Amino acid sequence: MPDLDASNTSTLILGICGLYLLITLVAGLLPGLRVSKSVAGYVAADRAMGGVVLYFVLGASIFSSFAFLGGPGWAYSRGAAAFYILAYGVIGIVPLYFFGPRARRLGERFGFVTQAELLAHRFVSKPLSVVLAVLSVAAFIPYLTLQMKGAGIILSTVSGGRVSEAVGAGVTYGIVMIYVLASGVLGVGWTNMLQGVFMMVIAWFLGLYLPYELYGGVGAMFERLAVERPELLTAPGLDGAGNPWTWAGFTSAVLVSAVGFTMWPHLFMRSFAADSERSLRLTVVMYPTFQLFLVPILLIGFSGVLAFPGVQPADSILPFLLTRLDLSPILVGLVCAGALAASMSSGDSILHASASIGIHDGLRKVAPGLLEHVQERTLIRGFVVVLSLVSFYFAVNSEISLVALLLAAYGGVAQIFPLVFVAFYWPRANGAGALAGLLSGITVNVLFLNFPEWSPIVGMHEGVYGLIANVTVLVAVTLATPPPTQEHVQPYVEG
Amino acid sequence: MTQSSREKLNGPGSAQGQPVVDKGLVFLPPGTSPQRRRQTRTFCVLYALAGLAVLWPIYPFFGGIRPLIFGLPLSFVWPIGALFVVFFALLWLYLGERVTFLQEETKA
Repeated sequence: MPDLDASNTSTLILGICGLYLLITLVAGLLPGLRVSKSVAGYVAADRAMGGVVLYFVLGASIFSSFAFLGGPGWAYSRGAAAFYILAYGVIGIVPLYFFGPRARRLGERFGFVTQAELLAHRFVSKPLSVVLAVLSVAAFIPYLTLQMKGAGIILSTVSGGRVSEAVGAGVTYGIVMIYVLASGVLGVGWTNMLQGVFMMVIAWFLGLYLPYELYGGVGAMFERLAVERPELLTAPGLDGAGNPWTWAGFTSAVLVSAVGFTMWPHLFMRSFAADSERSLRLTVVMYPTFQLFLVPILLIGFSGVLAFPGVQPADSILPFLLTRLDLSPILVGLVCAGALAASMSSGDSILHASASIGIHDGLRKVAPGLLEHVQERTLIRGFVVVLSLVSFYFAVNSEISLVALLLAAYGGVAQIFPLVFVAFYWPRANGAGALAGLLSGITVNVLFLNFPEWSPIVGMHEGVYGLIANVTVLVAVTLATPPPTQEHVQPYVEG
Repeated sequence: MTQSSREKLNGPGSAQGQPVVDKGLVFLPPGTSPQRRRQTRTFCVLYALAGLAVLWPIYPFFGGIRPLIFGLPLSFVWPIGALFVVFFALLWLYLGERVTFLQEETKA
């Protein structure tokens, strides 16, 4: 009775995923009972988030479906090119050690709960707040859509198609929406803790187990790859078409990703939620320990290269390995729950941040009268529902290349970095320069994204050109226009 | 220089005798102890070295396969090593500053 066995197996796997979703829901709802009903409570956890929760929020919100499915996919198809994910982590997190505590201090002093709010105040510019809100929401929608698709693919694959991708994504993100609505950022924090631990345990187990099962160990696997596929292990690896990747492409991808890394609003905003500068700095110090989770993730991808060549699409290599190896259904269920955790831990953070920014920095500035009638917290919750539905629509119906959209989003988000940098370290910088620099950076980024043939250096990430335009215009316009007063910038440049 | 021309050049407030804003970059504010300045500078040098190590033109020198270290190719171990350098440099910076934070928290 093979069909009955297969049916029982997928039911067991789905049952484990269902149990995991239930536990996550409870973990997400409980903190809502203790957080205040204010906007600061919903968006910034009343500035009382401790070091441990913060560590998992920062870690789990970055490592998403893209890391859990895309990371092994890149190692499988592009080899050493996947090391760029490790490389940008080396550079990317450090700015938060310096920016974060300043942002937190200013948040406490002026009541800021978002990145755009801080920059709009520093540069005395309402249009800047609206531009940042639009940029953030536009960058978040493809990111959220990607997470939903990831969840849908996982549940559909393990159920053998009995659960459609739409239902899988809908159920998973229905749960995310419930706890984000009820508990705000504290719900995100508690669930991220659970999800982060789960992801790390599963990744390390699989990353060591699969090479051992298929080759007899990690060393044996790389010895064989070094002989049979040396091009995969030599940096900078291969490009998407299977040709050698250029160093210009690798280096610029690392630089733009590193610059954009801490600028993602959902990551930067957590500075305002920290209970102290000390715990925020300690979280950044400990962050590389979370990044080591990428090592087993990449090992999973490499383990499939010789054992199962030609798997398409490459991003499905992890679920493919799970279905081809004779693994216990309980283990497969746990791995799938780990992949769901990766999707949900980023998805909830993005959903919460984008709704908060859209209302707090966008709608509140454009239509301030609206807030006289409706509480801001209620509007943010409403926007959580709207964004969920929009992303769900794209996840189910859209055939647009999400990876392309996400890459464009990264180039756009990186354009916020020069503004944050000069806000803290260049007292002379002013609002006209900041706004002109940001708009130039975004425009040039979009231009080179759509016309890569215009790039003077083949393979260069468009975000680099955007950053060059951004910084040049920011400096030029700032110097050509009056500076702010020392009194206004003093709180920003204090160490 | 007239009041209006000074204000045009230096911004609102300057004409009323308010302090003129610093024109250059200010990484550490005045009053930062020499020890903290030294430690921050040393950290920035280490950070820059670790960052450059994973980019062209340094990474290509260490982007080959052999030697395998703990079973991993050199191209894989290299960015992991840079990650460890950043981790220990951050830890050293944090431990140096921790005493100040604890004093500030006690005062608060």
